[in-house]
Amino acid sequence: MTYLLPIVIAAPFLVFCLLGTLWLSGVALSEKGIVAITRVGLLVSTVCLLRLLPSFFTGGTRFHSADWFRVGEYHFSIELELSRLATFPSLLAVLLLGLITHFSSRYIHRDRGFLRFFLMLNLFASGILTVFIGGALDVMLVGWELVGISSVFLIAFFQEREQPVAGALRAFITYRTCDIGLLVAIVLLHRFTGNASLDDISKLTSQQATLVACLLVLASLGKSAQFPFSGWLPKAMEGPTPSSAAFYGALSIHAGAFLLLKARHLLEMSPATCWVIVIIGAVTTLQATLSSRAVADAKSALALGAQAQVGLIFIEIGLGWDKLALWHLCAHSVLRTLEFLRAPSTLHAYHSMHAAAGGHIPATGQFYDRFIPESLRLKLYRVALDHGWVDTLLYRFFLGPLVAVVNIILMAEQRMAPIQEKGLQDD
Amino acid sequence: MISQLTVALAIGTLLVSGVLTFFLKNVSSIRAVGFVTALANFVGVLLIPVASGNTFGNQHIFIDVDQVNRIPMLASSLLLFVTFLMAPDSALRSGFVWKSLVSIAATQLAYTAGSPWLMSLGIAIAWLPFYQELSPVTRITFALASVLLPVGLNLGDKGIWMVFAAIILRKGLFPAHGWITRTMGAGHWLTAMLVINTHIGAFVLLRTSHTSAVWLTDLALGTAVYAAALGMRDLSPRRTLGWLSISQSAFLLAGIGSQTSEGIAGSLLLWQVVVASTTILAGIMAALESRMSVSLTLKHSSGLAARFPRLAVGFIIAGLALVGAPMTLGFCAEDLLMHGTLAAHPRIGILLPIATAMNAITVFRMFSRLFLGPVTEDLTDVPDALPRERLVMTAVISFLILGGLVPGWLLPKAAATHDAVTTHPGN
Repeated sequence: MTYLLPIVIAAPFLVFCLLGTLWLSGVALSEKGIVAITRVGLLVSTVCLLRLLPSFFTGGTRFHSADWFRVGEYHFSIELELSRLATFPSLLAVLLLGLITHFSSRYIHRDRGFLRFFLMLNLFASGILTVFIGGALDVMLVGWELVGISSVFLIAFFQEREQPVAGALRAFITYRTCDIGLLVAIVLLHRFTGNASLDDISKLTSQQATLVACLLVLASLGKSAQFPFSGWLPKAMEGPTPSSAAFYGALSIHAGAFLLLKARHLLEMSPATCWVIVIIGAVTTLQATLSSRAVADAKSALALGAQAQVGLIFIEIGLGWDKLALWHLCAHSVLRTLEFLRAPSTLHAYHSMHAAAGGHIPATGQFYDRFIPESLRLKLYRVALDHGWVDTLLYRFFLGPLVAVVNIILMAEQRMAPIQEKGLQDD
Repeated sequence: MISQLTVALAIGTLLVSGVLTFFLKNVSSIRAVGFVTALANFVGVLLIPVASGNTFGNQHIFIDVDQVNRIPMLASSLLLFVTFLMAPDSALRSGFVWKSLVSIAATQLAYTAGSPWLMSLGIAIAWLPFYQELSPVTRITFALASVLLPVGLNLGDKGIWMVFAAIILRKGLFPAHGWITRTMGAGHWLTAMLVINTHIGAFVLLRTSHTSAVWLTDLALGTAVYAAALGMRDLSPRRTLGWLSISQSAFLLAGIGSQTSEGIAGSLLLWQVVVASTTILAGIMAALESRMSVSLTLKHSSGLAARFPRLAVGFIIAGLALVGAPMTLGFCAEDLLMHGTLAAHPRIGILLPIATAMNAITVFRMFSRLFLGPVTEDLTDVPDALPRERLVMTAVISFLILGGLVPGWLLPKAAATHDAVTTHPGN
């Protein structure tokens, strides 16, 4: 039965390759054909996962391939594991992606990027399932990167507009910056323990465990949009709503929290890191809650709501309440997906509700605001409008000076090696 | 003896074709002769029996393919193949093909040379066909390296600093990196690739295999970060590709200098990735520029994907492979390099993932500025990728992806190179 595990990941990836090859060779598939092929891929993954479900009660399933590549002492083998932790998130992923496929077949209907959307959705499906059932960090890295790549291409889905493209670049910068943590953590784990498994860490000293755990926390902050890497999320809402639901409501945003849940043994060896996670989660929750009250559009409010909930999940992980964190993660995925998919028809639903009630329904959600004095509310509103000044402070004290130095060096380099280009003065 | 005759035949074919294309006037004939010669050279190099170990310095060997030069030889054939198919007709009219053939023949002579003098001679001749296209700084740099290398090699241990100086000059390590950006700015995109992508500096280090070159790894990593930082801010696509080339190819030296099996194997994999990817990127930009009335710029979004979707896909896949995206050969190369470099240089090795992350941001920034956003120029009657461009893009992308999925068939050769390098008497 273990052979079913690679099929779970391979099915959507093969669909991605098939759709991509057909497009490159000039074959024009109909929308129904694209959706049907995507459904088949997800169905195969779902059936495989359901066949493996009984192993949940017997401690999970492990798949260990021959080496993918080997040089000297070092080898990269594909280890997959449907552990008790990964079972429900994986099942939830295929089910939610199936739902989003169904929704998108009408929502993206006749859009020029219809094929591009489904290409990226399949790549994402393969990536997120690799993150969930990757047995070692280096295998998870493959999925982690695929999730990042598909995410930025879907943020820039409406590529003829300036804002989505800028949002995609911003998300990509954040992802790649934080991914350095995961890359270095993998190399260090290999050096300390001889492999990249998070289960085989008995050889680690306390300092080594703290170092690796901190690097994994850095990696998780980017994907989960936690403080101080939270600024990209509202800008990512320029993408199509179904992809926002899949990425920032249901799955991608929880990848960081899942990574930390997977690193539980490591975190147990490093209480200081756990407190760092709690503090980051708390700051993010407060900042996102505050910001969500000031944004004007529904999708940004939902994204900030998701960010706040993931902040709470981080707090639960930091405090060691893993089961609660896992249930919170699954429940939040489902609820937030529903909210995102309902977002385009919010006004319609609002008016229908009022009409059904026979009049105006009093606004809700103002309860906690009343505890804050009026003068402070205004100040907080300004803070909330700028998302807690996180980006401003980051730029002024960290990125700004770096960019200034690079610009000075670049000017000197440009003077030394000017380029005269066709129809343009040298920049 | 048979292998040495085959090597002479492979190099001789390039020279004969070079002379033939010098006299040809018809562009299609020039391209056809160039393409067939490049293909014949590639197949010839692939079929030559490989001598074991590092034959360099063996007085009885004039020229031969051994375990050190096999991958550089194949990469140089690949370079020819890609440039001849990607080059626009205007480039072929200006003698591009005969110059390339003679230059690569001299480079292959340097790769296969059994003696230091012959290697130095090949290196000194290789850049002369492009003399007119190169900037004065580049000419001085190459001339200086051409003098320092043979003298240094002849003086043995006393002249080691001269060999290192020649390596730094030819590899374009800081502060001798200026010739690369100048070459990118001065001539045709693909001429620059032919000069830069022979990686003479890395090859000399591989051949001479000095263990005292550990500090070169530090310098290479420093250069990689320096170039990566400037690449993130530059607004000229020419210079930006130059920074990318400097940064990514500095990794080659870092891996070879680490003297670990992972580092050397990673370097040799990356050698192929850098040659294939950067040449495709340059070819795509040359193709775009030949179709447009103004030079490409990164100052604003150009929205070219709307008109050139296939070129856009080729660009992003080659670019992501260059910076180590999963499921490509670049991923395996970067993974091995990172393990090798961090094992040999635990402190400064951290610069490698940082530079990789910055280069990835540069690639995505280039892609988003060139291909995404609002369309700024009317390009209604301009074709997307031509059949020959599609052929070469498909071949290279297939190589990068299949190589990434099944890297095992490339790695034994790279591992053998490590043994040949580390057991050489010069070590």
